[in-house]
Amino acid sequence: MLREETPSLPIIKPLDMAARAVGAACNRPRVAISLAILAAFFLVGIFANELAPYDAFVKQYDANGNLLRLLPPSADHLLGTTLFGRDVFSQLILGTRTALIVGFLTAIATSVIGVNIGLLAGYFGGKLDGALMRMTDVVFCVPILPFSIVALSILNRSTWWIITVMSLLFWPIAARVIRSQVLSLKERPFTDAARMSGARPLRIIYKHIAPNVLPQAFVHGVFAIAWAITTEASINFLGFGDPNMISWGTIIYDVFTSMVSYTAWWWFLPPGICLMLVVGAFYLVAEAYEEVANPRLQER
Amino acid sequence: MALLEVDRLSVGYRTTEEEIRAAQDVSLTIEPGETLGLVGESGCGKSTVGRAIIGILAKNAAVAGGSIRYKGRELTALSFEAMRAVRWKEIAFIPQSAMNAFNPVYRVGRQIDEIFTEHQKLNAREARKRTVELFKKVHIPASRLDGFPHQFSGGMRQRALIAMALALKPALLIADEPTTALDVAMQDRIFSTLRRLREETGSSLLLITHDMGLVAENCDRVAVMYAGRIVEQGPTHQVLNAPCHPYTMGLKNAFPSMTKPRDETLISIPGSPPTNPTEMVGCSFAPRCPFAEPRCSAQMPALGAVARVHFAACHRVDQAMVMRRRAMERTAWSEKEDVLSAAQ
Amino acid sequence: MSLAPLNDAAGCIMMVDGVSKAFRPGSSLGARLKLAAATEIRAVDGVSLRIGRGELLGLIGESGSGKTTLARLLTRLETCDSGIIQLRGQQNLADLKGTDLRAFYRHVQMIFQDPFESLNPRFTVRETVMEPLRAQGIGNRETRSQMVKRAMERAGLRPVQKYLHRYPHELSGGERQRLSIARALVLEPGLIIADEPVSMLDVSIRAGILNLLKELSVRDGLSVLYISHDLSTSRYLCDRVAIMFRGKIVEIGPTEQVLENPLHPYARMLRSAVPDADPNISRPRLAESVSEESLPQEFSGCRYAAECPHAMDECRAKVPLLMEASPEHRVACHLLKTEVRDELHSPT
Repeated sequence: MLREETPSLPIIKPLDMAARAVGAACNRPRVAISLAILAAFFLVGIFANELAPYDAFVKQYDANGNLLRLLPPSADHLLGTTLFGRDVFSQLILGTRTALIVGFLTAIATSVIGVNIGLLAGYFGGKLDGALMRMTDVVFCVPILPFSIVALSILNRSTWWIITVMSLLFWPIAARVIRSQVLSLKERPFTDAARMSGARPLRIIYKHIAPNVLPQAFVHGVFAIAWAITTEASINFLGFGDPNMISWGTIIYDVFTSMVSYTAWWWFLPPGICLMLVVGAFYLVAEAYEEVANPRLQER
Repeated sequence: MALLEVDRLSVGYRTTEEEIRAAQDVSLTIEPGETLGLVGESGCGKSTVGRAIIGILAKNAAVAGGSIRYKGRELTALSFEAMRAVRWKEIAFIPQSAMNAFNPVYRVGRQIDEIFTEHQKLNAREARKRTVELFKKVHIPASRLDGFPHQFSGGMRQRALIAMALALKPALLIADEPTTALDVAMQDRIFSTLRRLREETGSSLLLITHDMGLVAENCDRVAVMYAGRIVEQGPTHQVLNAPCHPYTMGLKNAFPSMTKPRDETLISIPGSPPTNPTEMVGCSFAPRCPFAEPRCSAQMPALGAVARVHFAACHRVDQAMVMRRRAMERTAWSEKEDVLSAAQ
Repeated sequence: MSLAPLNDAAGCIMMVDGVSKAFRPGSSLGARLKLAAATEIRAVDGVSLRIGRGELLGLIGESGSGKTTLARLLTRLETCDSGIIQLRGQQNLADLKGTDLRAFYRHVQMIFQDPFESLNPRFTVRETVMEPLRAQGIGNRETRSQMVKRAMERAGLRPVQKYLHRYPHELSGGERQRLSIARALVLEPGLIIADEPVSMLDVSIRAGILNLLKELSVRDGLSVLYISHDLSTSRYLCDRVAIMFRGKIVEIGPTEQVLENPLHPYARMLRSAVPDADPNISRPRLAESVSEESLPQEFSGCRYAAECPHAMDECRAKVPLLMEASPEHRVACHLLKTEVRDELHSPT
């Protein structure tokens, strides 16, 4: 059975991936803008300490010793001050760093768990698959916020626990997607050829099949960053987060509990906008990359 | 007047990076009742030509030049609606995979009924009567009418498709690799069916295929395509017995026979077709041709007459007999292969 | 059904005896074929054959004949339900495990139909050919490189340097298939099972691959089981040919005999259906078929009886066994025993 040779899509290797992604981005303004936004936030997050004009935890006083509370934006305080006299802009910057750290760590942990479960369940099938998938279903059904809140109340309300709890809850989606991809990859002749090379199952899984699921894994990793940032903000907003860390969620929590939301717009709007921008940007980039990484497109 | 006249047709595909010419300056004619074979390998543009004629090119493809005249009417100038009226009634298309023609969620009988109700304005009962007759003609029991396409076997689907294509007795049938996915026995039966039905309706057939055997047995005339162009054209007997273009000669070598001695040489053409033929100056086959001379890479040869109705696009066409003899020797092609790999 | 005991064990690289494999609805393949409950399809049913050293054996069958399933059984990608498969008179393939199975793959390799799907898109050419050596733990870095180079040269991927670091999507169809062949050759097997290796290649490229297989067999003594639906390429390549129909071998023998004057009605039908590229030859066409309902598997007689123009009562009742029509030429057909036989003997 012949088929007309259509030009095959280049297979993505990491650097090639990035280059193509940037190239593709230039063709699509939404993606280009998203990447630019993310790049900006990255830089802010990395250089948070240098960029913050004040210490975000320290109350600000004027020359006369008066607490500078609830000041609207000015030249000294670009985004004004909080009810407790702290500089909002500095808090925002620190919050950026928190968001990115939480986002990335959760995404990495969740991907490691989810991808491996997907690989093992998909390749071995049978009882192992059954067991892993039942576990996946159970975790999938757990409501994230209520469970996190309860767990954190029991454990310890620190950012590290937040990351841990989220990692333990987010992996089912990746596991399912990777597993279904593995199921179809398993049927392809190159897997047969790998078996006939004498490769043992683990080698086939990690050397032959895994590289082909990486693009999808990456996509879900990026989605996971977005979920993690949102969830962490929600946990903090509800007041169950880490009181020693500043994140966009804690800022909004402070505004909310101080009950000045209606007047101090400079205090609650910025974190909300940052959340929207960053999460939205991650989503757009992940979606756009998924179009490229989608295995159906990779098959000529 | 010829039934179909294609004159210097060019079709281009637009991809994100560039525009590729899938067909370039293709000219052919089909008389009423005759069969023309359009033969070539994958990527040569033969499917594109077929689809251009019936107006079902992909979204990113378009006719870039030339004309297609059917019974004197210029098809490229027709509106979408007007072209729709031509399809099925005048020109029908049989694709490689029947699943491309049948809608998977509707029953087969209903889809064929629709052809009658749409194009001939018959009512449902009359349409169904015609459909049953049609199925009988292709030896499919009427009980299968209520089945879905996926419930038919491959051969049966293809026969249903042929029935559907000939339902309105079109004057021209375009079949694009109609039996490639089928077993050889089913293929043979389908061509028998096709021949019988065509004798009834008097339809002409444009058979697009890569299989020389099918062409040899079913086509009155044949056109050989390479890299978007027609390189040789003429009566089947002449073109296959005495090819005048080196590509046709090479192609002949590639088909093992069932009757010649088993130690005949089977030779493959070294190299591969050009990825972007429009960028090439000169003959697109020159890089792989054992008889190429400097002028071949410098200038594209025109389709010249070698006999009254036999044409070939080759600068050295007057030495065809010598080339033919040499083309049968394996060394001619293996030398070219060595030249090709050394050049890289 | 089994063959007479092997006396020429020295000349035979693989012996297959009474191998069967059925697919049931519970299995994944069964689900894909949409089997009704409690039916089973005997994809391979009591197949026996012998592959000689350095032999080019053709296995011809259309879709549904079971040829691909047989290929997967012979390479242990599937396990058979019954029967024996022996490589060089050693242990039954079904009993091999672990190290022994890995050792088996040093002797038997496979080439697949789809040149692109049979290659890992993430591996370079070098990694593809190197992988069997790595997986088997053979050699060190230097020897491996040499073996890779040698395999690629044998497969016609020259100059080797040009290809080493390319990816499959950068290769043409013919080059990809040669890459698959190089991968199969690197372990220096004695037997290659080629499942429709040229069906998906352009016509003008097929000859190169076929000639390569021929060369490997004639020059290097490699045995090749060439599985195909195409009679003309099988005729070109193979010394001996077996024809499979619905899980059984119906005719087997030297190519000249089987393909030029087949005896089994199915084989004759197949032979007569092949179009010839020579326009000077005219051949009688097959009669159009009346219906094509997929036939039930419960009949107890010859699988071809329902379609065979010469079917007798005995055909529907009893399964015919492979019988010798002439030395080396065996046919599974009851007609051989009757007067009809002479009719069949006249040339196609």
